[in-house]
Amino acid sequence: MKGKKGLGLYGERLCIAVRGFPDWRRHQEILKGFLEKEFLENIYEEEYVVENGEGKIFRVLIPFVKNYGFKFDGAGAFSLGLGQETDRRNFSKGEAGAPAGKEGSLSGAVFHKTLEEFFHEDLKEIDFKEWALPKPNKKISVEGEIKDGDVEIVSHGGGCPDRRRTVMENLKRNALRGFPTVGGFSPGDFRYRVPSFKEEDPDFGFLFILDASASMELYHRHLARMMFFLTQRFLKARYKKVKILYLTHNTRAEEVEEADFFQRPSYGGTKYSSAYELALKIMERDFISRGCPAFVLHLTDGNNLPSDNQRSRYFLERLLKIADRFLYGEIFKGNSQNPSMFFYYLRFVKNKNFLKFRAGTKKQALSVLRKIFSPAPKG
Amino acid sequence: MDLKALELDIERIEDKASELGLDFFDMKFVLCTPEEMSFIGAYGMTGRFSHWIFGRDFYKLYLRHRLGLVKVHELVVNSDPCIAFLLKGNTILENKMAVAHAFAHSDFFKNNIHYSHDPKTVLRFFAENHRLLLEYEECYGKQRVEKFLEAVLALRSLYFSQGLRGDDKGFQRTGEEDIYLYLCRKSEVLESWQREIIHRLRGELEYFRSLARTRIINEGWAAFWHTRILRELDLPAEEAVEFAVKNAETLSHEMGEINLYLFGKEIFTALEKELGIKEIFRIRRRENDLGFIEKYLSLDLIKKLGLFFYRKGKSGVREIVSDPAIIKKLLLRGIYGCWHPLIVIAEGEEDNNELCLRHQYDGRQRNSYYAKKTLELIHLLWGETVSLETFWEGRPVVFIYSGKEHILRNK
Repeated sequence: MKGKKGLGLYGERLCIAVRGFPDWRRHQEILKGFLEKEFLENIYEEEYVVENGEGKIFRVLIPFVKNYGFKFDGAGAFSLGLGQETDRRNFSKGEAGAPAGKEGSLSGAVFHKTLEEFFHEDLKEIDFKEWALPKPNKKISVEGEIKDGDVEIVSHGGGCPDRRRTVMENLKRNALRGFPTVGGFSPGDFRYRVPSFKEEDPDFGFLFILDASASMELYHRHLARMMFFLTQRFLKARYKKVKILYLTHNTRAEEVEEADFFQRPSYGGTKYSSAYELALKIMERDFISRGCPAFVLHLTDGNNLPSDNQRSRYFLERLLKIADRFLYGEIFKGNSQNPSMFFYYLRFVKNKNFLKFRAGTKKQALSVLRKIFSPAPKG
Repeated sequence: MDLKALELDIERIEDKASELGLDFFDMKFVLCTPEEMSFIGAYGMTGRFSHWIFGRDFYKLYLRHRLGLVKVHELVVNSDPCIAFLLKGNTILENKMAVAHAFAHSDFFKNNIHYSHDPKTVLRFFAENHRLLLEYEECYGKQRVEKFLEAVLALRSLYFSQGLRGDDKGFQRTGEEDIYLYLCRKSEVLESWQREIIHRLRGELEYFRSLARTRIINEGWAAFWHTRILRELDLPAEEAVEFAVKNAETLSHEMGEINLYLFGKEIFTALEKELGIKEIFRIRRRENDLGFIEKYLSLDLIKKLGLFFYRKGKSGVREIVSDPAIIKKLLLRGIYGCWHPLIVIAEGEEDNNELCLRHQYDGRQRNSYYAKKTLELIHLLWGETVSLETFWEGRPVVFIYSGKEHILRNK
C-alpha cells in the first residue's frame, strides 16, 4: 500500500508560477479607472489595524474593487458563532470600541490611494481668486475707523493723553463742588488712551455643523470632510478676521474643537433640532452679541428622524432670523438619488438667505461650493 | 531547515496514519514561500487562470500574512497524488501537525463519495483551462475575455446553491437546476468560444463546489485525526508541550466566530464515543455537510458546544438565537444553499425570450445593489431581458434589467 513518498523539493518540485502580482496590478488599473470616473460605488474599503513598530497603532484603509454576485444583505443576515452563554451576554452588549490612534499609512507597502487621498489630491491646485463670500446683509466694519472698543481709557497713564476726556473729568469734578468751570487740574483728572488688548471682534463668523450619526458612512464623511476642508481653506486664505466654530450632532449636539471635528465616531440617531438649538446659543454668544454677521454650513446625509422635522424647522426659522446665510447640504452615495423627507419639507422655508443643495460626487461638491462662493450670485 | 529530519517525520506519520486505519492517496509535500501560499489560497489551485478578482484576493491574503494577522500553515489539493503545501517558516512541530492534517484530508478526499471530479487529471484540467484562456485572450481581446469571465464568475453563487436534491426536508424547488447548462443551451448571443469557457469554468466550479459542501466534515475529520496521530506519536517532552499550546490555538475561536476545525472535530469525538471507530469511517465515506449535520449533530451537542446564531444591527448585536432546534434549522438552511441565496430558473414564457430567475425567499433579504449589478452581468450572457423575482422589505417585487435600464416592479 505504501506509495513512493517524497518531499518534492528539488528536481521533481512542482513549479508554482505566482501570477498574483500581475493580476493585482490589473486590479489596480481597474481601480484607478473607477476613481478617475468617480464610479465610487464599485469600490469598497477594508480596514487593517496594524502596529507601526514603534508602539503606535494605525488604521489603514485600502480600497478594493467589488465583484458582483447575488448575496444576502449584510445587516439582516444571521451569522454563526461559538461561545458559552456566559460569554454571550458580554458579546451582545456591543463590540469593543474602535481602536485608538489615527489613520496613517504603511511605509514600504504598495497601496493605491485611499478614498481620503482621492478626495483631497487636487484641492491644492485650487486658488480661491474667484471665490468670495456672498455679501452680508449687515455691514462689515471697515478697517481704519477707530471704534470705542479698540482703545481703552485708563487713568493711570502710560498712553496718549486724551484731552477731551480729561477736560470733561475736570469739569465734572468742579461741577460737583459747585463751580462749573474748567481749571485746577489734579492728577486724578487725567485720562489716557491705551490700545485695547481685548480679543478682536471677527469680521464675520462661520459655524460648521456636521452630522455624526450612524447613517453617515465612510463615504459621506469623506465627502463632508472635503467640503468643510475646502471652505475652511478658502476662508483662511481670503479673510483675515474670521472665526470658525465647530459643532457635531447625532441626537445630541456638541460643540467641539477643530482637531476633534472629524475624529468623532459615527453612532446614534439623528436630530437636527438639537444642533440648531445649540447653534442658536452659540451664535448669540459669539457672533450676534459682537455684531458680526454669521454664516452656517450644515452637512448631513438627510436621515433626520421624521418626528423631528417640525421642530427642526422651527429652530431653523429662528436661526435664519439671526444668521446671514444658512447653507444646508445633503450628501448622498452613488445610487441613492432621492432627496430625503426633510429636503422636501424645506420647500416651505421661504427665505432668500436660505440655500439647500445636494452633492453625491467630488465633482458635484466642487461645483456647488463654487456656486455658493461666487462673488455675484445669479438670481 | 533540516529536510532529512522532515522526511523522516513524514515517514513516521505516514506509518502511524496507516496503522490507525487511514487510507490515502500518495502524498507529495511541497515547501512554499508566503507568496506561493497566498497564491494557492486565493486561486484555489496552482495552475488556475488569471483574473483580477483572484489578484485582489491574493493581495489581501499576502498582505495579511505580511502584517502578521494570518498564517496559513498548510494547504491540500484534492488530486491523485495528493499535493500538500507546507509553509517554509513552520517549526518542526507545526510541520508535524500540518503533515498529519494533510494525511487525514487525503484520506477524506480518496474515500468520500461526494467528489465527482477525476483526481488523476484535475491539475492538468486547470492548467489546460489557463492555457486555453490565454489563447482566447489573444484572439478576442484581453478585456473582452476578462469581462466575460467576470460575468460567468458572478453566477458562481447561483451554481453553488444549486444541485442539492431536497426531497422531504421542506426545501422545494422547481425549474431547471443548472444555470450554466441552461445558458449554453438557450442563449442566443453566446459564441462557440464563450460556450467553451462556460463549460470549462463549470468544471472548475464543480471541484470547488464539492469542496465547499464538505467543509465542516472534511476539516473536522482532519482536525480529529491530526490530534489523534500526534498524540500517539511519541513526541519529545518539549514538543509535547508545544503541541498542546499550538493545538489549543488551532482549535480556539473568538466570540462570534465559528471554528470549523473545532466544530467538526467535536462532532466526530462525540460520535466515536457513541458509535465506535468503525462507524465514523463509514460516516466519512457517505456524508457531506448536509447529511452530517442533519443526522449526527444532536441538540444536546449544540448546547454543549455553545453554538448560536446572531444578527447584527447598526449598533452592535441585535438578536441572539440560542434555541438548539432553531439553530439546527438555520444551520441546515445555510448549508443547503452553501450560504448563498437560493435562486432558481423560473419557467419563463417561451415567446418573449426572457430569463426569469426566482429567489426562494426565506426571510433573508438579498442585497439589492449587488442584485442589480449581477443582472447587468447576466445580461451580457443572455442578451435579452433578465428578471429576478424576490422579496424586498417584505413585499414581492421583480427586479428587471432590459439592457438599458433597471425596473423595479411590484408583483
